[in-house]
Amino acid sequence: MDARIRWQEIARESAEPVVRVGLLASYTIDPLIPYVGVALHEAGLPVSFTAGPFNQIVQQCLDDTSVMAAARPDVLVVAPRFEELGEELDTAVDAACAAARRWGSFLVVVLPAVPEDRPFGHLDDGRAAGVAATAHEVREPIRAELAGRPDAWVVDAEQAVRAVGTDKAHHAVMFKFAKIPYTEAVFAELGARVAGVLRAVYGVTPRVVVVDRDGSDEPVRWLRESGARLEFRDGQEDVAAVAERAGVPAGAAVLLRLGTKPEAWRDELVRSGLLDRLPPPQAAPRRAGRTTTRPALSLVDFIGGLDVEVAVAPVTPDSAAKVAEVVARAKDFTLGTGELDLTGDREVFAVSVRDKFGDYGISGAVGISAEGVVDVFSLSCVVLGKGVEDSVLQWVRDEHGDIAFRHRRTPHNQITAGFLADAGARVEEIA
Amino acid sequence: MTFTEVVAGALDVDPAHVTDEAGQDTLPSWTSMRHIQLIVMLEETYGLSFDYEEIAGARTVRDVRGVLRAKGVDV
Repeated sequence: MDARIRWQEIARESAEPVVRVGLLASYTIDPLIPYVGVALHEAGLPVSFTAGPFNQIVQQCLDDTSVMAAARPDVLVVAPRFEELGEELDTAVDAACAAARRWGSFLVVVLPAVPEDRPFGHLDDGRAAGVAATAHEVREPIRAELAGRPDAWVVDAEQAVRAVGTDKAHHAVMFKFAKIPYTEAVFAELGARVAGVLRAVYGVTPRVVVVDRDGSDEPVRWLRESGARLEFRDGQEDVAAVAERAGVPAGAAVLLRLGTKPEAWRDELVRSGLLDRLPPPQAAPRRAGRTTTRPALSLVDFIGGLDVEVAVAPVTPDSAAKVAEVVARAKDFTLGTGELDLTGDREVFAVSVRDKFGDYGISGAVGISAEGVVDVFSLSCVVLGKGVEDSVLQWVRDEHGDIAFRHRRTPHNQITAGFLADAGARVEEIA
Repeated sequence: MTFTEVVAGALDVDPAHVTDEAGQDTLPSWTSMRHIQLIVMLEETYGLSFDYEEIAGARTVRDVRGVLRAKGVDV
């Protein structure tokens, strides 16, 4: 909890960022931000973030008008998961590599954790096409390829999940509600790893351990044997002051309090970042990188390959509750109203979507008021970036001709209004 | 931390604004991401978990308080 509150405080200070980080994931990655942000801020590296829309890694990387392309981040962190992307995971990494080159960004790929699902039960371990084998077959070539690049690094989500323990790593309800698959503990681990990489890349890795003088001798002896440079402080002396005394920048000193369990000291030392050293680029031994013969993919090709099907149908008593929920929860792409009025003289249509990854069910709604204008045009973020918004707009035009879209300006509906204006639709703003 | 402190911290508002009537429609900072932060912080603070309907239905401070009370938390 401390990191989240601390990050809010830091964000209020509005320090000019030294590093601009872009985040793209196949899931909602926003919970990672406080952990990376606080760690880098405390290392003397003020940072700002741009989080891309949910599950649009390929679209954001291929489209030079995307949110991420406009942000041109110094660092692009890309976190795909097998669960959302399946066989398209390689495509996402390819697109991220290409985008990072175009944008001049340092690329951090979060290697996806091995999925927990085991369709073959205990026998999965021995199957060449089992979940674990397939996942490693994808993961290791990505690691090998990026190990040979000076402008990229890997952070392993599997390590973060293992550190927390699989039974405490996943948050099923939060995934259903907001597509956040992991618990805060996993995001904290991932954040520490991403921050460790960026500290090393930007040369602010801790170099000095600050130890309280009143502590036990045994941890101090162990730290000396580990090769760490130690500085002692008396009382509550500020760590930055100790750093100054030691002749290093404030971010290069880290306070370490080793507990009473020697078996936990190694983890504490790793967590402190003192061991984070960036070696010269090197190819991973024995493993080949991924094939580079795949043709370059265009955004149109990618979306065409998703096999998206959109169906629009009048709302029924069975679908009414779901339509109302979708409209109430649509924050990223919505024109009208938080609470959908299904009574009165209006037409409401449910938008159902499916693609090659699955059936998303009712994922949006269109409402036409008694005055004959569209005043509800909402889509769930889960189906955005697949051309669904274009399909629904085309349906509206086919069925209702040059109908106007009416909205009252809110913090949530300007993306939709902009999309409609760009598409040449008649958009009316009311006070 | 008190209930008010948790809510104020999660939503980044002055504790004085944490009234029962305050909600997603009245507090501009109560965005969808802050809503998630609020739920996670409440789960950590009180050692409990919310189900989907409780997360989706908690649109005001009064709603949140009601969910916690139903779980036996004195707030």
